[in-house]
Amino acid sequence: MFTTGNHLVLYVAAGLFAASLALYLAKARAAGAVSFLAGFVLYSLYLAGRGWLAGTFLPNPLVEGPFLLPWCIGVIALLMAARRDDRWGIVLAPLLLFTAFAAAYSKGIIPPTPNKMTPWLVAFFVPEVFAHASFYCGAVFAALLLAGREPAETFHRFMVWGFVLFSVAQVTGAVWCYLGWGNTFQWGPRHMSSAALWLIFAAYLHLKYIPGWNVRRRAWFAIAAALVVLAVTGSNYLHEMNFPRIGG
Amino acid sequence: MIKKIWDFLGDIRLSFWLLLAAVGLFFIGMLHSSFDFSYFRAMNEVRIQDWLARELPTRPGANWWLPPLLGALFFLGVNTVICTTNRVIALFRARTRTDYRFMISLFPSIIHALFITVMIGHAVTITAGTWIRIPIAEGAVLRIAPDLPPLSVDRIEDTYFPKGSRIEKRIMQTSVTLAGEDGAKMQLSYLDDIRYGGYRLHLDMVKEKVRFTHRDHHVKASEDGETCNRAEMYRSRERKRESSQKLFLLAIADPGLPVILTAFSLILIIMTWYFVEALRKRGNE
Repeated sequence: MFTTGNHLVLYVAAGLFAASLALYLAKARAAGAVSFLAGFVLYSLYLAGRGWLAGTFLPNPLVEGPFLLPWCIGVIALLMAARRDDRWGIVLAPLLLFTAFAAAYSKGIIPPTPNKMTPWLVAFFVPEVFAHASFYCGAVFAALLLAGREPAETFHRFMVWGFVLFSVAQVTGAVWCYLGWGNTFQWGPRHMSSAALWLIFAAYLHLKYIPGWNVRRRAWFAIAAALVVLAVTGSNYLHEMNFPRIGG
Repeated sequence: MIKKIWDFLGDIRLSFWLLLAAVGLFFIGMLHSSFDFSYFRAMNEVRIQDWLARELPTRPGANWWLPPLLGALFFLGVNTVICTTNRVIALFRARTRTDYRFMISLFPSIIHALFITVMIGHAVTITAGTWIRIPIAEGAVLRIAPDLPPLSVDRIEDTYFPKGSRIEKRIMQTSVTLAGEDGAKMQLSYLDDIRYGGYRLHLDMVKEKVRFTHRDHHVKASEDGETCNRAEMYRSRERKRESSQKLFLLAIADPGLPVILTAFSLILIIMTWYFVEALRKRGNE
């Protein structure tokens, strides 16, 4: 794979995303879309190249959070554009932010243990990271609503889909955990933080039925919840940066 | 009076605050388990009541958050049952006919009922599960329980990642051949458990250098440096198992497992069905 370990591809993709956002904000939507598409294709190739970092193909490095997250946000932007939703460019802001994070992150892979050699790992990480992407996009739209730039309750839809995907991840994660470690839940930081995040968004969903929680207050809650996701996953990513890595 | 209590316990505002309380307590647990990783790892193989009886008096600072967490989850369960019951009663009272739309309107309540089922399943697991850890070596005889015939370890075979790759010295899979008293053979591998007399058998490995402080309460986990990353345990110098790489059989009897997995699967199906229907409805509008 020609993109294996070739970080220039990642940096070019980040540059194209930056150009795309600038063009979108300058109302040059078509040029912005072309730049975004080119960046997305390059980013996808870079991500695929990570599969061969160990010298043999592994799906594990493809689904590593810091690298999968920008791709998931890119897919969300693509889906919005495909639905002819003009606001697809708004999603470019978190996309650019997390691509910059990926560019600065440790590029090597954490060698997999035998209980991580399973499709259940992919079935867990893909919906989980897509859920995070939805929460972040939702928070951006919530912030726009609070700034008076977004009339619709778009952020709520992102939160709902994020919750559904996060729930899917909890189920596939429970199955994987059982197969790999013998329990569906472990008293460890990863599982307890996942449970806490799931409960935060469950609380968010209940707000719609509680008197006094108007759309603005719910938008604030959505932003706060996304910031908690950012704090928890961000600290995990930073912690994992210190793990012994191979390749990259 | 009873109605007042019923209404209070079923109030959605109470759901919200209980959810937030559980969030806070889970985060506190997360922090404690981050700093004392192997201490809390041992908790996964002990029933919660035994853990609390043993650990709460000796290390209250590390375990104080557990009783309020269990309390919050219990009241959340009660709240969910009452709230769901109220909603289902209201829906049945208001229904004009029993059709597909009415069934869909019941889905959120069914999901809540399944959520309770998952919580009950977890409660059964942590209060009634059994975890037995036995070291494995070729030729060893494993006695899982007094009423079960022993198993002997015929062969242990490690498969490494392909030669020439950057991870060639790391174990990719381990296959253990177990033989019963009647000579019947069973293959046990990572991610491929086997059932034996009410137990599920799993594999686990520990490298001695990274001390597993499984019931050693005097050594703080942070001192042995164990983290959730166990990658180095599976690395050998010569593509051959080292004496420090100790293999274990984990025999688990978990009566909550079928409940959890069934309810989880149903939640997935019904939740997807519900949101697809919601999208279709919006599309029609």
